Amino acid sequence: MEKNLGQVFKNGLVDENPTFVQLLGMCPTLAVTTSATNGLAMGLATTTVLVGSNLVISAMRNIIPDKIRIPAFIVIIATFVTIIEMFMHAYAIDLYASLGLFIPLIVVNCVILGRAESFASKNTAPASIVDGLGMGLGFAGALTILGSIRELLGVGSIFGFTILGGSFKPAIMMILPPGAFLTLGLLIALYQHSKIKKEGR
Amino acid sequence: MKETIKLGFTLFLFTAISALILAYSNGVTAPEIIKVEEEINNQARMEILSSADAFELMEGIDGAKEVYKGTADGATVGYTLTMVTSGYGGDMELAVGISNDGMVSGIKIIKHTETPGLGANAIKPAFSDQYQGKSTESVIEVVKTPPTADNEVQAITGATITSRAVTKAVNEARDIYTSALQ
Repeated sequence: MEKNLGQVFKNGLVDENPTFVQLLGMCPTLAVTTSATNGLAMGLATTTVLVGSNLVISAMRNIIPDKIRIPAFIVIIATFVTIIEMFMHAYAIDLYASLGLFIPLIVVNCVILGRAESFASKNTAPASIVDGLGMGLGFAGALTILGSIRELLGVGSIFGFTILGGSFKPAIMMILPPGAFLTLGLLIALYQHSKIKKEGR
Repeated sequence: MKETIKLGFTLFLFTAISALILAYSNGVTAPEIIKVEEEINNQARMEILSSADAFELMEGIDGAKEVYKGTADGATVGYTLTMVTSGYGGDMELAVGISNDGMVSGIKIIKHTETPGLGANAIKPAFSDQYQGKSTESVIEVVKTPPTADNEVQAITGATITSRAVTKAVNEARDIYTSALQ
């Protein structure tokens, strides 16, 4: 089955954006987007794992028996994440210090299992890498937007740089859990609204 | 039946290969991780007890996770105590430096899972430097307004629980110092 790689990429990034359209991986989305930096870091870490696991799973798709594919996928994903965590801890301690908390969360991110199941297990390795990149960056983008909005309203800064200073009184609620739900809900509504408008309905 | 065994065996192969890869990675990285962690802790000790040039682990002191004696040219100049306290988002680990003259020489939060933008501000000097120079003789109190007495520190806005947790740990370190080390 040949697929247009550009289309596959755009599919993940926009048309079937994992956060705004598929609503996958909500746990890390809501939990880590307290700042733009956290959102971006989690998004990029997820992208790395997603590309890697998509590649391995698509390469092995013919030797994984259908009936045990889910446990096999989970073993592969968990192995991948653990290796990344160990090497990061040993050789990139600064990165590990800021990301450490999120890495184990990646294993339970259903975006990764979802892509393994619905794409990588049915497509060639190159297409799966592109799919991983598209979905991963779509996820990273969504998390960064969410994190930026929450950080801006909740602390008055974006990526740690103060933007709203002086008389601005930060709404602490925005970086607490309710802020995550409110922002995500409004963003999804906005996304759907622009999609409907584009389709001319 | 035959199929079940075959599937089970295949899955076993997958997990066995994964285990092999993980064991190998662990073997490669574990010594590095210990070295890196040691380095970080050592750096933290240097920072909070800058008068010392060497540190020596002390055994048999209750209440603290680790106690190090800091020395300069062989003479004891103070101690660093690694304390565990429970913050808003879970356990926090911090090192408290106490110099020989009975003053807190500095604190450093080593691990925490506090809310970014709120409790996580505890690692900023604006908050943690407040403990520097506090006497071990009086209990340190948390206040919400700019401190008026020597033994007061100002809480982080919106993160009173975190501020109290850190202060509690520093107070415990003080107690250990006055009862067991001084």
